[in-house]
Amino acid sequence: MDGSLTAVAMSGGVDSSVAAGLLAREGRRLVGFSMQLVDRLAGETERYGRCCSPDDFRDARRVADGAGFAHYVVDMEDDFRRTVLEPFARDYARGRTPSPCVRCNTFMKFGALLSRARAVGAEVVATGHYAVLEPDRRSGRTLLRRAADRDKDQSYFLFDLSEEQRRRALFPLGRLSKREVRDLARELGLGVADKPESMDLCFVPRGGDYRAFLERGAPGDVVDREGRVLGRHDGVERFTVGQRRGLGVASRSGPLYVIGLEPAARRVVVGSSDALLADLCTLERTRFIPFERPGGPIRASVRIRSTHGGADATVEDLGHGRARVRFDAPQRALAPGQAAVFYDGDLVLGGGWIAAVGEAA
Amino acid sequence: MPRVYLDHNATSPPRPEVREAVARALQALAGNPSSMHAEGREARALLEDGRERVAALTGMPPGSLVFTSGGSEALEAAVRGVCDRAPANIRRILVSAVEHSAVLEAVRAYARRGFEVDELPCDREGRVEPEAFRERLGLGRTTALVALQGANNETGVLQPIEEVGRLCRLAHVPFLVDAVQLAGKVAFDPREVFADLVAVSAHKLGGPQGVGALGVREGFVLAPLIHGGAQEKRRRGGTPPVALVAGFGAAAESALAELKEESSRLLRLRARIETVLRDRFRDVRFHGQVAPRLPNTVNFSLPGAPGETLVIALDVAGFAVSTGSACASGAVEPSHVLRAMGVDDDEARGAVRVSMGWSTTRDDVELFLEALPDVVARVRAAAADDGTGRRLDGPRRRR
Repeated sequence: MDGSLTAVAMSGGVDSSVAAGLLAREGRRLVGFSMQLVDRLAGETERYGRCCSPDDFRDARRVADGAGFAHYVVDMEDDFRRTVLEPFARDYARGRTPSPCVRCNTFMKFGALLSRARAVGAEVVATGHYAVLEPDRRSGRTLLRRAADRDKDQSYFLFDLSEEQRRRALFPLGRLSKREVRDLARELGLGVADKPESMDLCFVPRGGDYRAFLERGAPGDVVDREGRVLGRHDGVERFTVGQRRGLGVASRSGPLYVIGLEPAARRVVVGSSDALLADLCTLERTRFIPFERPGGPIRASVRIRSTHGGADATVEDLGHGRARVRFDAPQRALAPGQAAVFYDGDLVLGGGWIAAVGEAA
Repeated sequence: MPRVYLDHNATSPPRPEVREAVARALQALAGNPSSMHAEGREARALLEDGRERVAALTGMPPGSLVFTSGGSEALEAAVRGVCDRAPANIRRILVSAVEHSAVLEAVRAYARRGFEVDELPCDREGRVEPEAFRERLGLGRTTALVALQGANNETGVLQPIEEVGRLCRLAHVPFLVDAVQLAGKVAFDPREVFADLVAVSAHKLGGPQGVGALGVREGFVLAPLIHGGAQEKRRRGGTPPVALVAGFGAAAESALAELKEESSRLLRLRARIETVLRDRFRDVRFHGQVAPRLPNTVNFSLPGAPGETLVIALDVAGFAVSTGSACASGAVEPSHVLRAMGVDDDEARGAVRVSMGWSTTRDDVELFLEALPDVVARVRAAAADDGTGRRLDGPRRRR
């Protein structure tokens, strides 16, 4: 092992602790960082959400102490507010469904934190992500693959890393199962072996509601596809496409879903389940991973949200970061603001941000 | 990797004679200093030995010294001890805006209990204006307490405690001097500064952590902080930490004995640091440089290099310095001291404090000065890039 320094992003959870423990066991020189993301002056535990509590930092510090490397809590509240929280609220206000976890990887762990790592002389940031990075000799690019543990795979959340970022990322857990990771935690003598899983939207307090992070919007009408007013709502930003609960309107012909959001007109459009189906969407800020741009339309399995298993589709690069995705079969609740990520088996081909849905796109 | 420690204002490492004194006391100690038997008397003797030495540090008579768990408790004991006894019509507390949070937060707690707290401003060099105290003290007999630090922990700037002390004595207002950073570094006599209360801490001068003291002027009446016991003349109940007091005594004795030589030695090192910094970094900004200062402290900002990152990068490179006051949670608020001096938030976030002490050598300083330019260059380069190599946010307009 060379003497170069590797930074480890440590949340105090099992995964990042095991990642750190494995690298330390390999004999790597490490430096640990925990990101302070929420208002430390809030003082109340519920404000800490599911991450970043002083207890989590202590857990991370104990892992670093045990393995004999330095650990720092770095104040990244400003970066987090600017790159994750504010866009999160802005997306809702624009009738979009945000993907804060993707942004957190792109702009925090492999952005602001990577920058701090480089400042102290570490050229690589390791995390506890479940995904595989693999240098491809032929193309000279860094490929991103699904994790060996399909249930834990986080490649979806990592599609938006640039080649430069992927080259500077290290995922020691990519080829391990969660079970193996927990076993390793015990084997490495980590106190966090039995800590519960952290969840998406880590910044939302336990048992809390993400809507608490949003400003109170203006009320407006709930309408059907034909524009008939069915009821009132208290703010477009409180709804997402595909949502069924909390609409406050009923229909005799079956359950109603949010099928569209029109923030300018402050309208929430509802319709039947069928109205949520679409087979076409356009993407913006698209990136491809094994190649800069594809030679022509490509076939891929496309995931349209983190819980979506993927559907066969044709992806067409339109240039300027735009792409068109045509699914073989209609998909439910394609939501603007969500990421669409393209796969060829385990290989992540790329992805983009859903800008518009349906033929109108 | 050899380490270079330049953070004595946070903790000055225990001196060899202190380690020895503490170990010796722990080996000898069998009884409680309040007990009447031989073991108790032996402990008592150790305690009183230490008390005499620490009293010399504060300049107060040994009989009026109250041992506490540290500087913060000594300050809290002073604030509470005075304010809890203050008559109902005397409800004003005067402090400087650059006090240590141990004082600021202690007095702010009284602001919530009907006291009026005036946090008096300082100039750009961090010095308070005695005239501001004179004005407030002239507002009839309404002031319960004046508290002023001898030296600032972040900048090392010395405050005009003599002038303010004289004003307090003339106005018959209790005067608390926070001498935590001053004691053992700069000679001072509490009689000359008319101090009624002087707070000191052991680990700022090479003593053990966990012990401090409040010197109380003879005849000055103070309400107790801990009621449960008659120790320390009923001012602080509880068994005093005899071994720590022995260590404190040893540290105080050494610091006083070496004060003059150390002070000129550190002054030369400080001048060396400032000269080289100015030489290598034309844009370096020193904080409080023009004011009279402790000989051991340099506080500076380098534009484009965030203090937190610089401190971490220096630590990784083997150098212990600080962003200002050590913060338990690790998060960075711009220093209230630098803010009070009119330093803007960006520059304040860049502040780095180098503080030297008994263990600092010329070699330490040279190694630090040699390593700094590369570290700064790396920190500046990284800070200029958000890490992603692209614009932060780019949602394009939808068609």
